[in-house]
Formats: sequence, C-alpha cells, structure tokens
Amino acid sequence: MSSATMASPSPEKASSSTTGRTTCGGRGCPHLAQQHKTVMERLKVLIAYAHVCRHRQALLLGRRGGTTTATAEVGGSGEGDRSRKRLVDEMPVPGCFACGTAGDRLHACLQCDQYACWRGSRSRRSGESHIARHLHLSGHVLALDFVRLQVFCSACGDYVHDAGVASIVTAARTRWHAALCDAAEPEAKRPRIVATTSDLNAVAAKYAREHGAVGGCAAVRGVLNLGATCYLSAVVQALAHNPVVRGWMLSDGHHRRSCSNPGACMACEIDVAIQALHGGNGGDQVNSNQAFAPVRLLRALWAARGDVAGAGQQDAHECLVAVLDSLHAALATPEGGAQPRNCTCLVHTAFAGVLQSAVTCVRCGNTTRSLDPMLDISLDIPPAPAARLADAALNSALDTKQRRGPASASMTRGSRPVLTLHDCLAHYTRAESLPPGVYRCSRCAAPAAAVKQLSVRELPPVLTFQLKRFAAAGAAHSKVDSFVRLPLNVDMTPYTAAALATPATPTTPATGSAEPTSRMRRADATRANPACQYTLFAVIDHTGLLDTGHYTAYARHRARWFRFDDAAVTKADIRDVLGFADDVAARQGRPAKGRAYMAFYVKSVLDYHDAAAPPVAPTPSAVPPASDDWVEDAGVVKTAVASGEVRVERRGRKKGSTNAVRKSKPKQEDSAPAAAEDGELPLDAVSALALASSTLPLSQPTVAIAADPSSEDSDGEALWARISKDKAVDDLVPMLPTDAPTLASTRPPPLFIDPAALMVNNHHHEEEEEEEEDGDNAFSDSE
Amino acid sequence: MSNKDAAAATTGIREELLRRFIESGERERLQDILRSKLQASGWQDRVKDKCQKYVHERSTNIDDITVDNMAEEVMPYARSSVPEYIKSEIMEDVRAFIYRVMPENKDQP
Repeated sequence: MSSATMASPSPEKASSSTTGRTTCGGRGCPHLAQQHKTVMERLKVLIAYAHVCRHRQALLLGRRGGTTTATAEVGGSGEGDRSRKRLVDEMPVPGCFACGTAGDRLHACLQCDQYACWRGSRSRRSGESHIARHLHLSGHVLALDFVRLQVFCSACGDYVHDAGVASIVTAARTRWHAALCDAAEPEAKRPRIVATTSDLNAVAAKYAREHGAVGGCAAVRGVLNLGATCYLSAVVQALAHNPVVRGWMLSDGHHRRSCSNPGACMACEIDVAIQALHGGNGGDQVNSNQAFAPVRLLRALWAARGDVAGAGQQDAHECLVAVLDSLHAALATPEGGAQPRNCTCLVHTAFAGVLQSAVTCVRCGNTTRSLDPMLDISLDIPPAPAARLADAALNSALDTKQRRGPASASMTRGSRPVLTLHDCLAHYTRAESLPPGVYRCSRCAAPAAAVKQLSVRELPPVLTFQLKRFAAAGAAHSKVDSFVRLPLNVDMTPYTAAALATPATPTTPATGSAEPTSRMRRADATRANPACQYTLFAVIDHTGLLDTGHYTAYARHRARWFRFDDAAVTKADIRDVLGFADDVAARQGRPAKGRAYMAFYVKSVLDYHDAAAPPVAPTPSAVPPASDDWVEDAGVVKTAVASGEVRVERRGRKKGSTNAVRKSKPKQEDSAPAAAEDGELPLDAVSALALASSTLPLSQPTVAIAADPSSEDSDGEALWARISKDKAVDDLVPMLPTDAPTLASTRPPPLFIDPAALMVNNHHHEEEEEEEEDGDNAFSDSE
Repeated sequence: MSNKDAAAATTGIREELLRRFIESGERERLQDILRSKLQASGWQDRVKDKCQKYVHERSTNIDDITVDNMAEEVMPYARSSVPEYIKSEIMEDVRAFIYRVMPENKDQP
C-alpha cells in the first residue's frame, strides 16, 4: 500500500509561541521566515500544480457525466472547458528526479526545481530519503510535500507551519473545491465562490476596536434544567453550536427590537439563548459562568406547540422539530411560508434538504420519483449485520454475502461487525421491493411488482440524523439499545440520488468475477464528491430507559469537544463522543449500550446559499422569481464589491443551459459598516469579534466567502470581475491573487490539526482567527 | 530466459505498470476509494485518536514531536488495524487493473 494510506493529517510544527526554546521557537520556522517572499512565489505555482496533478482524473472527467473506464488515456477536451482540460492534460505528473518513481510522498524543493521522493519510512533511517539527500547536498532547506501541501524544513527536521503558507493553501483548496465538486456532480449548482481570503479589512477592524465593547466569549455554558427539561438543554446546545444558526443569530440575524411579534417569538428567544450562551448575560462577566435558564424559551415553545407543553419529559427530536417549526414560522417571509420548498428562512437554509423516493416498475422499468422536503433524516436501526445480509439478495450479487460473512468481517480485537451510521444509511436507502398489488405502474397500466428506493436528492448544509431508538412494538414501548458507531466524517455521496441513479462501472477483470453492484455503488463507484463530505459537530445522547432517561449533548467548539449535561459542562474526549469503549465492547460481543440518539453533521466545506440574510427587502422587480425553469435554484445572493454597490442575483441554472448566472441590475446599497443601530456593532465587527469559528473540522477547513467590501481586496474584486463576464462556471484556472493575502502575524489561519487541542496556550490565537473567518463566511452580504 | 533477464524484465514491467497506474488516474481513484472505506470503517478515527494520545504523552516536550517520529510510532498500529476485507477488496481492484492493462502478465507479483 502506498504511504498515502495514512489518512490522518500530519501535524504541523506547533507554533510554539510558549516554549520558544528550540531551533524553531517563536512563530514558525525561522528558515521559512527568512525566505518568505520567494517561497510564497514558488508556492503559488506549485500548489496549483499539485492540485492539478492530484485531481487530474477527476478534473478531466468533469462535465462528461458518468465515469469512464480508467484505462483509456483521457485525452481531448470537452466543450467549454478546453482551457482547463488542456491545462490538466499538458501537465506531466512529476516523478522523483533521483529514482524516477512518481509515488511515495513526493516532495518539491522550494528553492530549485527538483522533485524527490521520500522513499517511505522504512528506508528513512538508512538515509536513503532522496529529498533529504537533495536538501543536504544543495543546501536548500525547504521542501513541499506534494500531496499534502505541507512545508518541510530540513533544518528543523519536521514539517513546519506558517501563516502565509497555510492561507495560500486554504485559498487554493477553496478554489479547486468548486472545480472538483463540479467534476463530481456536473449537473448541480454551486454557490459561486467569490473570494477566498479571510481578512478582516482594516476599516472594519478599526471601527470595531473603537466602537465596540469586546466581551468575553464563553460559548460553553450550561443550560439549567428547569425540571425534566434536559431535552431542551440538549437541543439548545445543539443549536447553539450549529455553525449556520449560531453565525446567523450572533450577527443580528433577528433583531429583538425589530421583531414583529415580541413576547411570543421563538426567534427572539433563540437569539437571546445563543447570545447568552456565548457572551454571558449582557457582558456581565460574573454571571457568565453560571448556567443559562431557558425560561422564556420554554414558554415560547409551549406557546407555539401546545402538545409539547407539560411538565413531563419530552422527546428531544420532537422538541427540535417543534423549535425549528416555530423558528420557521417566526422567520419565514410570506412567500416562503407558503411553499416550504422555496423558503429562505434560516431554518430552511441550514437544515432543509430534499429526499427522493423512486419507485421503479420491475416490468417496464418506468421510474416515478417523488420529492419530499425534509429537515432531518430519521434512520431506523437495522438488525445486526449478520442477519441483515440475508435480505441483501435484492441488492447485490452473491459476492457480498460471501465477502461480508462473519468470517471475513474481522476487525481488530473482536470479530463481530459493529453497526455504524453507514449501515443505518444503507438500510435507509436500500432498494426494497413493494408487496405485489400495491403499485400500479402508469406505463404498463397494470399492477406490477415494483422496487422502491429512498435517496437524498439535495443535501443540506447541516445534516441531522435521528436514530430511531424508540420502537413502539405493539403495546410495549421499548428502547432499541444497540450500539451504533458514529463516524467523525461522513461521506454522503453513496446515498445521494445522483449516485444511486447511475449504475456503477464495474471493473470486470477477465477472470470473470464481476464486482457486485451494490458494493461498488456504496463505496466505490463515484468519486467522493467533495461537496458531500460532512463533519460531526454535535451529538445528543440518551441514557436510561424510555420514559425516565436523561439527555446529554456533546458539541464541538473550535475543535474541542465538550459534554453538556444540563448545567454541568465538562471537557470531553473524542473517544467518549464516538463511544470507542462501547465500540470495542460491541466488537467483542459484550453487551454495549448505544447512547447516541441524534447526530448533527455540517458540511466540511461550508458553501451554502445565503438566502437567509437578514431581511433587506429587494425590489420585487429586481430579483427574478423562482420558477420551475430553474434547476435547483440557489436562492438570492447578495454580494458586495469594492465599489460599494451590492449586486443582487439569483444563482442557479436554467434547465438545459450551461450559462449559470442571470443577474439583475445591481443595486446601490450602503455596504459600509455604518448601519449600526443603537450602538450595536456593525456586522463585520460583530462577526469578527464575537463569533467563534465552526468551520474548523479536523480535515479540511475552508470556507467560501464573499468579496470583502474594501478597496484593498484586490482578490475579490478581480475575481468578481472575471465572473461577471459570464464565463463558464468551471473556467477555474486557478487565479493567483495579485497580492498575497496579508494576515497579521498574530492570527494563524485554520490549521489541519488544531494545536489548540494539543496546547492550551495556543487557544487565544485560534480564537481570534476563526472568529473573523466564520463571520465572513456566514454573511456573504454586508449591511 | 536467464534469471538476470527475467529480473530485468520484471523491473521494467513493474516500472511501466506503475507509470500507467499513475497516469491513468487509477492510483488516485483507488486512493480515494481506500480513504472512504477506511473512514467508513472507523479506522481513521482510531488512528487519529492514537496520534492524539501520542502527542498528549509527549506534551511536555512539544518540539520533539515530529511527523516522522509520530509516524514511526503509530504506523505499526495503523497498518495492523486495517480491516481485512478492505485489504482484499483493494487488492482485487489492483489486480483487476493490472489484468486490464497488461493481460499477458497476469502472474506479476
């Protein structure tokens, strides 16, 4: 196996600002700092090159639909992406200069044009590492790992982290992310990435410093249990750490003062709750450590949904649904309320997805699809995998059964297969045959046997799973206790409608054993669509019996996990969250109680249509209305450019056309951060200082942000200018920014492993940086 | 064929195979597949946990933690804990590729 199987991201040299004792004390590597400028220049080119090489197959296949057989040397170009395809085609895959192999942790020297490989860890000791040899011989110090885009400093002896480097890498990843998503799923719309810098512009920063009162940001506060309201505590915590909800709320998404229905408005109460959880009681430092009492929230909940009222324990999932319903009622615009499909309120922006139920007539192959909007996915817990295989006959050929039989399902330290979320999802999206006589095919016009399959058609930015643990089997209500392992990252590609619709390309060796379709379909067939990657950020647990159980919540705050047990907040280990101990026990066959009840995932690269902007009423004529012509309308997006005007456009794609954008006339709007009311901080400043980052997953933290309304942001302006010329959407030959994004040295950009998880003292730096990033992310428009 | 010729031929074929493997994008595709399988099986979480434990143990001396040291420490566990079925599935894919590309050399090591 190639060394790339080590999937865990390599840690950087921790910016050990605290120890500062060693050769690379201080912020990063001094050797890198010396040659910063030249290194940056080379990096810009190299990183683009690396992306092309790494994803060349994916990029070449973009816009072709389906997967071609991998043997054919893909040559030629498609319509409209000639430039990009030619670029990809003509770039050779680099090989090691010394030994000629192209694999094995290729490194590129940053000071000359050499590529050399690492030669694996076994021969490292014997000094055969070609890159080390080259660096030693030539006196160069820095090299770039080609695949993982990390800088290696041979003087420090390790990979080093640098703020500028990391920001370039992040920016490049964001740009290529769009191209890759497009390659994986050519027909889907994507929000257009307008800028990738995460800088707070100088004007807003100055304004914030002068006018704002910076309060401590607690963000981890307990919620008082008002008497069997642990369900509410758990739900509130899950919402408070939901990046989209939290970001929107903390940026004055809903003004208490401008609320049309004060006193009984759920949005106000959620706003109060989130502000309290993050900032204490109005900046009161003394009280901010105490738990927050959700009295008014409870009252608003009861007012909205009478059936949830009552002193007894309620179900957390029901509570969440009730809260979201009343939030939607409070926030929805009139046309949104009428058609949930087109609603642009916060709830639907964050949570709404679309499920598809496809029924295929066995006889004539006619498929009818029906779409259902959904806010979360409720998964049945299937019976144990061994039993489940018995009815996998419909899905696959025989190989699956033989392969997944108990003998070969041997994981480490135990031989029982453990239920995972993937199993639940697979069970949910299985093809089940309807009982005869139920389905009447419209084409055959006769009752026929049919196969029904559920899949996810549109993935929401925040994906919520509920494991149906409460099985009402007849008269006895019992809790299904089986342990279900939740993965930290989930790839939803195999469960999307697109993936399940296209039959997999089986790699059929001439020896004759065809790959069973289901296995291909589930994990192999399509390339992992980068837009379908999700990261876990909150889990709601239920322990105990059905009626007398207790809810607790785990949530992630800036890459650290915390356990929220009503008013008690403790640091939690990821092992507890994911239940490693239970996992081991289940694998060994010992009884293991599954605790996870609900799981919340957010997209790893959070790109979402910012339709949930705080209402600035657009003139009806300016915005083209959503119509059936639009394929997956992306909503209305407002972006601000340096000249201060705000363009309002509707993103999406008309059916059948490749031209992506139809713009309305730009509107003049005051985009400067002067729209403060009553001394409240303007949007940028608030978001910069008060927010905690959410989009810092452990693997690939990038955000797609809109153009920064400042004159210094040449990157955003230039990008916008390019896009506005109506170029094809994937003419994403990576644009090298004219100025490197200038980040103050005190703010390290998002890292791949958060050193804050490793070292307490770095927490401060992380806080500052992510705040502004998240602020820019959640609001692509500025008011 | 004498032994030396056979060996030379093998190496030549091997390099050619590797080249085709990479250039046709198969390597990248299989790497993606492997990554998603490992993640789905929970391997990635376990290895990450192991790495974090490693760092915690040495938290007093942060600067001595290098990628290579950590890799050396964690690699045996990582290698051994890859589930068998993943190994065999990937091996099959690789074999299929080889057979597709060079049908006459089906008994390559």
